[in-house]
Amino acid sequence: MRLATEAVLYALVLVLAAIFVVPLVWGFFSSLREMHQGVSGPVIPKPAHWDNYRFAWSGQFAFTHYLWNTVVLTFIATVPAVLTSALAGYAFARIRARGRNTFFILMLGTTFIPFAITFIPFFWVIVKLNMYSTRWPWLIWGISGSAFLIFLFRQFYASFPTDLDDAAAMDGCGHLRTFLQIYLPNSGAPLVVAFIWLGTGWWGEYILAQLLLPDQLLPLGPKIAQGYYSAGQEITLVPVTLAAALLFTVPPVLAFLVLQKKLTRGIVTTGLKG
Amino acid sequence: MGTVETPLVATAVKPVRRASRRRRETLAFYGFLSPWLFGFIALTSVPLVLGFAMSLSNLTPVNLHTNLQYVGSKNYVRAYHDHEMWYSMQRTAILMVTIVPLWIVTQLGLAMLLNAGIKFLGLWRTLFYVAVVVPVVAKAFIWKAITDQDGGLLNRILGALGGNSHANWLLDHSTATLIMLLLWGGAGTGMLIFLAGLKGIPEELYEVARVDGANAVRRFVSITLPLLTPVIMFQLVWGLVGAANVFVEPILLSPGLQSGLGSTVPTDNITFNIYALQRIFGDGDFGYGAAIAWIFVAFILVVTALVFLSGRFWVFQAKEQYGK
Repeated sequence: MRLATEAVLYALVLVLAAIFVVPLVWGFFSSLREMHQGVSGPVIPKPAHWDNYRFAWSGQFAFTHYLWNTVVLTFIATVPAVLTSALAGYAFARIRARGRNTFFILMLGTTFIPFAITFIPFFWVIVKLNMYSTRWPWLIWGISGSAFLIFLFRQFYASFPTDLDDAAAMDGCGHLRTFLQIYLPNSGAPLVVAFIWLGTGWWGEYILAQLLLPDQLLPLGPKIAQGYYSAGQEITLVPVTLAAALLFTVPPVLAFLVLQKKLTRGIVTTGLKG
Repeated sequence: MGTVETPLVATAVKPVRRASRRRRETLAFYGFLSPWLFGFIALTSVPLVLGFAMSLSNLTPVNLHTNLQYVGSKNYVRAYHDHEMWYSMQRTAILMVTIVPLWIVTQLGLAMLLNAGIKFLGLWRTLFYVAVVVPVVAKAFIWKAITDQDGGLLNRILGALGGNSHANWLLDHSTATLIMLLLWGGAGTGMLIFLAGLKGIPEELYEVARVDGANAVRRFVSITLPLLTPVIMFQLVWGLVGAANVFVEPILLSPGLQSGLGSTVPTDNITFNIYALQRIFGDGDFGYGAAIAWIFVAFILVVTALVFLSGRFWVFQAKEQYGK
């Protein structure tokens, strides 16, 4: 009886895991088909056209140029945001001041505001400030942080033992030093969650770059979304486009695989569960 | 004499010190918050107000200095009579009521499976989660390859089962395709959050229930579910807001070549956001687009407020006692 339950359990996990992984495997197989062939042909293409990856890398545009753009945008939008979010999270958790609760509710409220309503006027302001076609908006997004991450850090810091800051206060540490020397170095778990979530999000970002940047500055998301075409532009080279999309997927997946233990532990310890 | 003087001095000094300390705290608080406050003002507050002002005007990209006019509620009246706008709102609502329950059931189901004491937990967890970090552009191309009319995986499976092996998913079943993509790519994070919630339920509760003769279904209904209601509420609200804001996926899933801002998105996949953006960047009708966006804000606010209010009837309140 016990054995039967266990067998069912493992069968279920196996089937579900397969359902979740098959799309990626299918994408990979399809990236190895003959480039004009679409996705037809045998399930596992024979021979495998590995040269699709070479074409994706340099056949239509210099992949490395847009890869660099992606790295720069991800960096300037993610790194400052994680730090300023941690700072704000500390303030909401540890500093008593008038207006704290009001701003906390306002902060959570911003996550409910749909993209379209702020983007149009924002777009207009960006144009007026001559920041259209530049990377400045990414730095602005980076500096202003992310409400979701602020919430994450606040939850984490609120459950932080206070004896440490009492000791720090005795030593005459202000909030900034307490934060930098005690809280930040002990924030491994939420920092990993924050970097993974925000970093992979910005890495794959599509629409803002598409609307605000010229081709020269585009990250890989919108660049690959344009697709790869045959010499006469008449058909999309689906296998090559998939090859490019998978190359683009490698860095965030690697980052996740390296950090995944910490990510799960981070979600448990930050008390994100509501 | 000395014994009288000391407290006098102390009471004279203390309030001053406390006041300056409070001022320092306030200063520190707003100092720490200033990067976010800057963004809150520049990226949220000002655009919101400007957006509302735009919605009361006939602003286009070119008439700012020529014949910009205040038009009152004209844009809102126009929206009220705009069938396409109502259709896009209906499609958004349909998306919300389908994907959110699917998400929650999948996330909770996967989390419970992972919490049942299976081996290689890390491996399964990784396989279920990995789709989350795949960039949306790659997700869309992968699903285009799966739903491809000629030789896509889905049609191959349907064909093998004796069904229609030539279905045009991207055009005729665009919403189903979109939902499959969202379910695949959006379940992982919630699964981890549910898993954390499940780990927070003390094992003793289950043991006591087992001793009392409660079977697995009974234990799920009487222990797991009630204690997870705060997590379910969290996932429900985030899911609803996320589903309401679905925007990039339908554009990237549109059949044919990528052109402009989703001009080739099938009607059924034109969500509220896409409809508003099309009016703005497609038609250059800033005023009307802003009015539609504001109607959308009101819609989301009403929905989330109703969900929050409903919580008092079903969210288990004593979570502090059992949480973590």
